[in-house]
Amino acid sequence: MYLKNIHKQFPGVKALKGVDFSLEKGKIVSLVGTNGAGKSTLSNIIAGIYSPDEGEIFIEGKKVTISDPKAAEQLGVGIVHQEPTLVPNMTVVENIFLNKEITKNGIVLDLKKMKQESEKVLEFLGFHINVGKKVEELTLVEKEVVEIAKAMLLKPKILILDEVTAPLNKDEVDHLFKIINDLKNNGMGIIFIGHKLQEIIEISDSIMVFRDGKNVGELVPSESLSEKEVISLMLGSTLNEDLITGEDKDDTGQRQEVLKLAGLSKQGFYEDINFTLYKGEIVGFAGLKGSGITELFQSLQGILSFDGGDMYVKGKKVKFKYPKDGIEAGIGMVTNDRQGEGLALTLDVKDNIAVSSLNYLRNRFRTLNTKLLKDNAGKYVKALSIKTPSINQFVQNLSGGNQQKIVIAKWLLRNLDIILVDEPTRGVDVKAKNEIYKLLINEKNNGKSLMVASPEIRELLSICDRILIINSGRIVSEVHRNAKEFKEEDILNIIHSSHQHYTTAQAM
Amino acid sequence: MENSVVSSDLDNGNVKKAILKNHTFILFIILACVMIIGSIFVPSLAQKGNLLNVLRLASIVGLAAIGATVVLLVGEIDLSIGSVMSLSLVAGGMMVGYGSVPALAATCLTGIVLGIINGVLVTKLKINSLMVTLGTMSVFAGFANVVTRGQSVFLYDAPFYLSLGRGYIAGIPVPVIIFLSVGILLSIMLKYTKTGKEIYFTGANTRAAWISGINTDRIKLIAYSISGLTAALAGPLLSSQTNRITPIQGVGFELSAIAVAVLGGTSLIGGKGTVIGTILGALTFQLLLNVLTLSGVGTYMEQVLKGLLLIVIVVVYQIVDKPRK
Repeated sequence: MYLKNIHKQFPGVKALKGVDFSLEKGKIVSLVGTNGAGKSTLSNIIAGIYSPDEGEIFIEGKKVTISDPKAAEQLGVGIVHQEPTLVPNMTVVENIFLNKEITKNGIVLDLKKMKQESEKVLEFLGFHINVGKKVEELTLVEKEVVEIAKAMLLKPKILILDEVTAPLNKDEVDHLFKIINDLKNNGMGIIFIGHKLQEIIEISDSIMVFRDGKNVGELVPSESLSEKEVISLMLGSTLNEDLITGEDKDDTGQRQEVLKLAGLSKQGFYEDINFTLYKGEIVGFAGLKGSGITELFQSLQGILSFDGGDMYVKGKKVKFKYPKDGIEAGIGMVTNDRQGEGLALTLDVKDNIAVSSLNYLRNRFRTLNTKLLKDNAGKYVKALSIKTPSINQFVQNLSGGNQQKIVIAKWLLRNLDIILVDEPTRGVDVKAKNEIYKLLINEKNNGKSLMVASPEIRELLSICDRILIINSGRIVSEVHRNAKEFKEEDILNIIHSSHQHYTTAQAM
Repeated sequence: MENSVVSSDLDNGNVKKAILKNHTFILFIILACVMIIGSIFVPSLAQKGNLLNVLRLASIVGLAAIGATVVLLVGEIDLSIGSVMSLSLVAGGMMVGYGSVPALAATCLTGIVLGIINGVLVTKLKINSLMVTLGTMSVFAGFANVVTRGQSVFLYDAPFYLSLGRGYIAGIPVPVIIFLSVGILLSIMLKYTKTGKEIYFTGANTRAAWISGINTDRIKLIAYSISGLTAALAGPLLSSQTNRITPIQGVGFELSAIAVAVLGGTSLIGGKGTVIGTILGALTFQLLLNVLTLSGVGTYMEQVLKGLLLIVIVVVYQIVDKPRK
């Protein structure tokens, strides 16, 4: 299989800029890179989920177009997705044969044959799972194996494994790797995507490194190849060049404490979080997907409850029941899903900005002071340079970056002291990104306290005064701006190594 | 990917606004067409007496439709409007011996209480509102029959009560005055109060509303109470037309009320709609029915056409609304 000069553009983002890629029979090629580097886009193109804007794809020497997932299947491409695709309340057989049911005479399901086939595939994978069991009763590895079995059913020549090891512990990963190696020895070409570099070095025949939509190098694993080398290739030489702010805050003693968490826990999400937020600082939260940061932020505004530990706002112990309580205490969250959780898309700009502050926009008859509302909305549209023809424009007609600014403006108008931002620049183009960074730093200088979570470490490095690294719901490290570890490389190292550490610990 | 919108869309603000306004505009056109075409085929349509009658009936269904509109605005639905009307009428009927005012007070109070019951069931038990109000529709209607054992209450001793439906002030039928007053009040409430804005926001995106600090349960409860009250208010206007309160007076009224709201441009998924639209919707709806009645279609056929009309409205608006997505 061979891909040549693949380009793919999404609105506002060039996801792939001329990528070449090749995979031989019986080889395992890994794709690594930071979030948004293009590895998922590439695998999705191979699996027919996206089609490339430019470039050619060859499979076994023949030029092909993969228009949809069905076409990919017919060409012998199987994919195991990062997100689970199994239906929990259906049995293993039903899941494996979902949409590919074998029938007698085209009408009645051939249950016996499907059962036999499922067992055969699973046995080939070295697993004995009762195929009549419901998927929700399976362990994590078993589920992962069923996902693979599902992809295997069509006897693919190329198998894409997208972060399949994420939920597994060390033993389980070893087991899975044995299976993957067997498949490879049977002549299958495998594309492996992962975040745990040690695993990748262990299993791959070659490692393709992606950065900003290009593949920037190919590494061949050997005894001497270290995680560090991979990481530095992932990041390139442009380390930390775009830092905007650079203040060190050493006067810890005099700083005003605005939020304190003592052993805050929420079962299944985060555990024993001890943290103090001071006035006029931006604290970054770094961690992999599913590390519990989003849920932690949600708890601080009262969107989610916490079930252990204490929370203090300006020295006062609080426990919020509703998001409203958090806002009244001066805390607001910009969630990572602005369309689902931040905005009313069918309403206009002014109403979206004013929605949380209506109490303060009333006249003495307790009806709304329309002029005050318009003036205030207009003020923030101007201050945050939100690009909209007027404050009466429907929010659905604005770009992602401007929509994000509206969510932020909502909390600024409400004059909150603490603003939590989860993925501030998700789906936002480069220019708007910088504007949002400036905006956040500006608010910090105005004496607000901000907590920012982002999968892009570079983003945190450019705006934060310190970064907390969260892994599987725990704070594992804290890096201050003046520390020598305040570098993408080192922070990634901590994230990846602590993850490794944690999963091993869990296995014991 | 995120739906970043291409920049050319940004310039379409005025066009979009015009299209939205068109809902009202389209309604005017339809209303005028029905009026003109109707009076060509049915000359008696344009007679003053008939038109006043249309206005009176439009006001009654329009009142209930205002409540239906508010519930639709918060993204829910109220199928129990007809039953709330019957049961609150019956409650008033039991008090009519003490005079018109106690009877009317009992009617309104019952309407509000029934609305609150709906609201509590929807918000606290988190049951789908379609199911809740389908259930209460039957429960309330059943109670109306149980309480009265199916008997009617005659209203000859309650002149004030009767004057509500049949009287005139300065030549304008009283129901029209009540309808317009409630309409203006609600219109101001929706546009110029915190609660009003929160009603729209809750309907447009309940989760975002909740996170933005809106007590979305309270807002939904308010919407259902308003719907209960307007359904109850419409009752006496209707029963005074027939001189009596029957336990089945409101049957089928929810369909008319929802049809009128939707005809007036209220979205079925919440967050979009106006009282003005509903008022125009009520006029158009009643005029259409009147044309049918005058052309001798008959009551049973009228019911068929009412239902068909609702479906046609929804389809037409879906087509009109499409390019806005």
